[in-house]
Amino acid sequence: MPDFKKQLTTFVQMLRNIEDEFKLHSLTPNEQAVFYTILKSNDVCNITKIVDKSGLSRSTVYKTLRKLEENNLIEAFQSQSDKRESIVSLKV
Amino acid sequence: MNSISDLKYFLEVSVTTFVSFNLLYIIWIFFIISSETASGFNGSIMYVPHAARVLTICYFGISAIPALYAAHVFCTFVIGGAYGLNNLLLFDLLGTSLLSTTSVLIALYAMAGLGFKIRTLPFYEFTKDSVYLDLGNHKHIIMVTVFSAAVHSLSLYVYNYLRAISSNPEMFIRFFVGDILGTLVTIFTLSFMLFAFFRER
Repeated sequence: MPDFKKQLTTFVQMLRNIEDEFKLHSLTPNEQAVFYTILKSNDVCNITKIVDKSGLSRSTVYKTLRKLEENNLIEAFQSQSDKRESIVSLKV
Repeated sequence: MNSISDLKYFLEVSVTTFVSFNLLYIIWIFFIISSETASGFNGSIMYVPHAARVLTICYFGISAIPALYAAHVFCTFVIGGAYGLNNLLLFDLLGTSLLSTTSVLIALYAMAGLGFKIRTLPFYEFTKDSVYLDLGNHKHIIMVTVFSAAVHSLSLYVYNYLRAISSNPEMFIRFFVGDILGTLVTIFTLSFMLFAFFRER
């Protein structure tokens, strides 16, 4: 006797395979929040602005920025006017 | 005990099939068909309810056939009729619904003849050489979609020709493309929805 729930689980698995194939979930929700905050700022963005706009803690933002930088999605550089401040921008 | 669980399974499959076909049919009527009727109806270029046929028959097997047939007749007669899409006689409505409902089943048996078999269907022997269709793999589902769209469009074209309903070859092309596009759009939309709304955060 076939199992209805098992068949639905296989169906959901098929939908997840599509996600995997097209890498729809390659960014975590935190990464998405930071990425879209930078995207919405149009130009360059400093870390304080990302913390304010994304609603994430400073340490989470730093951790997330490092991951986005590793994935080659953003680049961070030192501000010319204030050497203590880091500026980030999209690398696309 | 077995007959109760059999009945429960049949009811679950029937309700899921009937509701999903109706839902997709209503979406098709409201969002897609309204933009297509201007130049006369020769078959939809994006027939999303075909996804319900493919998915329910692939995952639930022949248990889904009665509900799928009922949903097909109900939607064409009641909903389609209300929107002026059903110009068929009752005999033709029942005939085309039967062809549409069984098109996926026929396609699956045709594929089985070519060596691609599916575990949810009985009636033929599995051998060591059988290549099983993986229901968790969307590429296999897409392959079934293409085969079933071909069977569906061809059978309806032949039926329409023999019954002198229509002999326009454009209808064959539009049914074929419409079934494939409609199913792909439905599957990909469901996948995006799963990603957007149901993934754990």
